Amino acid sequence: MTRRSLFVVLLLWTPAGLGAQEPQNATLREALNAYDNLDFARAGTLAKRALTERLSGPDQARTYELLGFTYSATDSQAKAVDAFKQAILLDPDRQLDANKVSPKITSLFYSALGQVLVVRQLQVDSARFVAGQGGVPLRYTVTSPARVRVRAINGPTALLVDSTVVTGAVNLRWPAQLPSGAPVPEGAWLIVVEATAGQNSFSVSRAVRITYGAVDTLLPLTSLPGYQELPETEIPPQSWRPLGLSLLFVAGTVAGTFALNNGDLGSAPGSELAGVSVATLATGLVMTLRRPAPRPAEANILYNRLLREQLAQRNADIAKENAKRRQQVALTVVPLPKSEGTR
Amino acid sequence: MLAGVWVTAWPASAAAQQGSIGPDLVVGEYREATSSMRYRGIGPGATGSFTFHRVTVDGTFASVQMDPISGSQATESFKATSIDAWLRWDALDYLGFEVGLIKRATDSEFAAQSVGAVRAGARTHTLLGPGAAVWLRGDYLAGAQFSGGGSAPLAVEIGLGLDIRWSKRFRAAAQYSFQRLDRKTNPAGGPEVSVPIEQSLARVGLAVGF
Repeated sequence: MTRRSLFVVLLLWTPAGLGAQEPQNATLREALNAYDNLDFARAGTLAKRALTERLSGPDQARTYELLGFTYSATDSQAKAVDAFKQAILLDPDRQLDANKVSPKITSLFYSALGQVLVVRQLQVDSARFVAGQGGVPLRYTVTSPARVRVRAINGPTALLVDSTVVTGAVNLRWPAQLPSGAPVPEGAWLIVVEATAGQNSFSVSRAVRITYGAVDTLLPLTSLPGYQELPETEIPPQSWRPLGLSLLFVAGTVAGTFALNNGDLGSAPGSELAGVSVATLATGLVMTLRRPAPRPAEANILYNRLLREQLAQRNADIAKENAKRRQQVALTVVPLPKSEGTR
Repeated sequence: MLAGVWVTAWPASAAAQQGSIGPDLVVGEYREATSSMRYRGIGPGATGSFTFHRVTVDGTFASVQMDPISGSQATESFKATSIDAWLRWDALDYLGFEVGLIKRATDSEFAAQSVGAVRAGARTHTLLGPGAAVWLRGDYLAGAQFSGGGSAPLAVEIGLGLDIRWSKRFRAAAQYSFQRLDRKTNPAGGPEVSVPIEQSLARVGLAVGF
């Protein structure tokens, strides 16, 4: 590949972020223009000159990054790595878009990343949970093996969240509890991640605000979902039973009367027996023809009783749970704007 | 109208404790010795009933003026006053066992016999529908004593009853009973003579519950 074509490739793969924000320093702006015009020697010279001037933090990191790009373009790899290291130390969360930056520059950037000790991309997620039953998700990345201590600080109170030797991405959950088990006090808390390896150390912090809230209580149930009470009475089907029973009783009486009748006294008496028998049969017929009265549906009554017992049990459980929840505290954790890392 | 009081016993399972009382009309037929000695009459009655759990006490009263029916060889009327009592224990929802007394007096010893006896038997009952019940009774009348002397080795009674509850307080009832007493006597120390007695009564009336 010729030097000219390499320049074209590097230009095409220049990170968009390099010129995305207008720098405050005029020399840096001039250096970026020179880089955009493929004048890498002039870009490097101007970038070095800018470093001698008064620069804001972001401009300083951007200047080192530009130097890294420039050295990469001029095949000064060791210098490029050094420049990227400075940029990373100034802005640990700095990232290159692998889809827009050439693999050569990206590999040099990651080489620099492996040679410094920083804690990158510290993230504290918003969370709402019941104290003692959840935690605040924390994530960070350590670029080199180091002992990392994570603390939560609020005024004179400093709580150790984690202390371990790690490298790479780490996920933690902070229960937001004091050693006594009580929830941490309301207010602004600082999550500090300190990495130490030999003489090198790096720390980064993120502020969060913790507020108290009431824990949601459960509403009592008026019915069990999917179940409903059944009617406790039912209309029995029309039946000839009343007439049959009256016939049976009358027949028994008539048979008994005729069987007991003494033949010496003549035929059995009829009018008294007939009158009462007719009244009984008429009553049986009326009871047969009339609409049956509702009768208790035992199975449904038992089912409803079971259902009410279950409902009462569930509501008792809910009441117990609500009593417990009223004594609990819901913690709401919201990250505050990001703070700068320190070396 | 000839009125009496008649009390009906409701099935014991209806309530733990209840009673009823009410008037009714009694009609009856009385036969003695031969088929030609027949009387028929009408009169008032009275009954009391009380139920406590499974135990029921029933009592009835009737005062019937008996007159010879046409074609009868009987010539003299008489008034029969009877008192009946039952003490029943409902062993099952549909069956009860009972003991009791019967006392029937006549105002003319020449026309009809006065009689007294104890009774023991059973009564079955069932509901025909809401508020309506029917029952059937069979008793043996033991130790029968007659004003004219003699005894009745065979003395039985059968009964049919219908109870209708109109409301919580008011009830109506109809009842039939048939008694057979095979009285045997030996007048003047002579040979034993059979003098059977039969009586059938029907009564209808109202009752008030309490």
